[in-house]
Amino acid sequence: MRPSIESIVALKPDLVIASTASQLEQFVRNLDQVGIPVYVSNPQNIDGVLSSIDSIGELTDTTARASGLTKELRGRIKAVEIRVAGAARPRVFLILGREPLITAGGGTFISDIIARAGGQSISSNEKAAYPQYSLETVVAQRPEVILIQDGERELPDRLQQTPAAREGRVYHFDDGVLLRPGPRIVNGLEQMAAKLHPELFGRE
Amino acid sequence: MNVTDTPNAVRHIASANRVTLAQLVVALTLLALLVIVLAVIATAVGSEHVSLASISKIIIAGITGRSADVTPEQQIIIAEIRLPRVLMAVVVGGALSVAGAAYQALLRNPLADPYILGVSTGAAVGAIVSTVFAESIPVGRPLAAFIGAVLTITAVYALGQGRRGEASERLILAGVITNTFLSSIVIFMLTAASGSRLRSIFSWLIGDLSGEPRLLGLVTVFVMAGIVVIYMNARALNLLMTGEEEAVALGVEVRRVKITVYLAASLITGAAVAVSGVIGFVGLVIPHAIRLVGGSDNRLVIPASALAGGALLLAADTVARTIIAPRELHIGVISALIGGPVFIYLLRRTS
Repeated sequence: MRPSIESIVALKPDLVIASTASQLEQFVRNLDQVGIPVYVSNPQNIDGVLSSIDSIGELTDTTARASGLTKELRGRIKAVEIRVAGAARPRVFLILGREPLITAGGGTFISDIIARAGGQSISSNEKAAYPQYSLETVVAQRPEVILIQDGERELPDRLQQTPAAREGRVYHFDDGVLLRPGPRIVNGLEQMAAKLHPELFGRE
Repeated sequence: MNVTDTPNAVRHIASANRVTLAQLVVALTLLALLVIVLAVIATAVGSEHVSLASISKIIIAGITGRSADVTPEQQIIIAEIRLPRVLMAVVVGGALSVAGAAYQALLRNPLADPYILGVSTGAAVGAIVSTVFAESIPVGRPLAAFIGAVLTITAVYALGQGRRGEASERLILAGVITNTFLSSIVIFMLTAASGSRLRSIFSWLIGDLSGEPRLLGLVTVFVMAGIVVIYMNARALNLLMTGEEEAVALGVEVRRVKITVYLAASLITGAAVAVSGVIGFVGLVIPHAIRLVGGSDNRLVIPASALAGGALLLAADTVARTIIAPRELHIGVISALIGGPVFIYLLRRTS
């Protein structure tokens, strides 16, 4: 993304909050020169989301509301973690793209959510964020749950014999809830936990 | 490279070092063995280990129609993932190389190949159109790719005509421009159709063989038929390479041969692109390498290109799917990395 500095200055903002932008450093420096403060928030996991909510609360003099929100969110996260603690962790495979097969690596947001929801992602050892992945590795790892990003079509033919497909545990997910760093991420965590552990949360 | 000079290939053919049947048999046998050895290696390696014993059990069971005593995962990995992909690489590599050899002979231009002329990208446009609008018709994708390829080569040929007949650099420039134009159409269509799915766009434009092998049988039939048709015109192409007037004088039905070979080359390009996206370089490098080693008699160049192209793409794809396993690379990257140095070596060795 390449935001227009001119349009931003014309709006006379008291604070600019940015996640990513092309040439982010130059962008921040330019706004700094005209006296507009910039807060860069690009959390990579759930803890990062909570701390950026707190920071934005401080920056906007709404500390009380922010900490109220993070307290509530922390409580909900804790509740999920307590429920899944000790349960068997199903092997999960995530499909972000079907042809070619794209998944998410270990350092990503969604990988954190899968882990906290009591699952283990097949590709969690992968360092690249969104690698093109080997289909035969997926077959060999026998995923018990497969998650497909909304908008991608049905499961690839050659994953039809995986435990996930045979047991009807292939789910589509909404990327707005699972991939965007905001308070809704906790809804995503709760939905994920329910899908990974229907025995603990009951089928929806 | 100065494309207006009489190309090496043409000079070669003018002095017509015709191959004998014995030379042809030896060369094709050696290349076929190379393909078989590579196919065995490619089937044996992958991101997951499957023992050679299990692989042979699966193949024997496949031939005899019984079920093999292996895990279901091993069965899927070998029979449904690796073997179809090995075959796909050979078919696509053979198709692109023969198409390259055919275009080079027809256009009497050493730089002609399905990628540089824009034919591959034209085929990709056709394939994507059919995927977006008529996904349920299996034959639609290679057919639409064929139509895209024919329209592109016709447009490039028309654009490449100068006032004084064909001009080499005009033709190549027309191809380069057409290719760029069509690449933009590919990006536009995929962005509009599926909301900025960049990885999918990238796969179409640089080539990828990891897709579902549903079309493999159909594409193999198209490619085999096209190669046979081009091979049947090999002698006529030899004469055509010395010059159109000379060919006419020697009794070649130039118009019929040209149209037939154009259509056949476009058919096999379209069929290959429909399952692999646009893989550059193979169609340029392989026929050249064959000519440098074995002379430019098309009766050798065409079948030898089919086998050598299959071998190169198979090697490239095997590297692409194993070198950073379980991640995969795009095959186009590897085919260029292997093909480039090989080509330079051959060029320097003979000149």
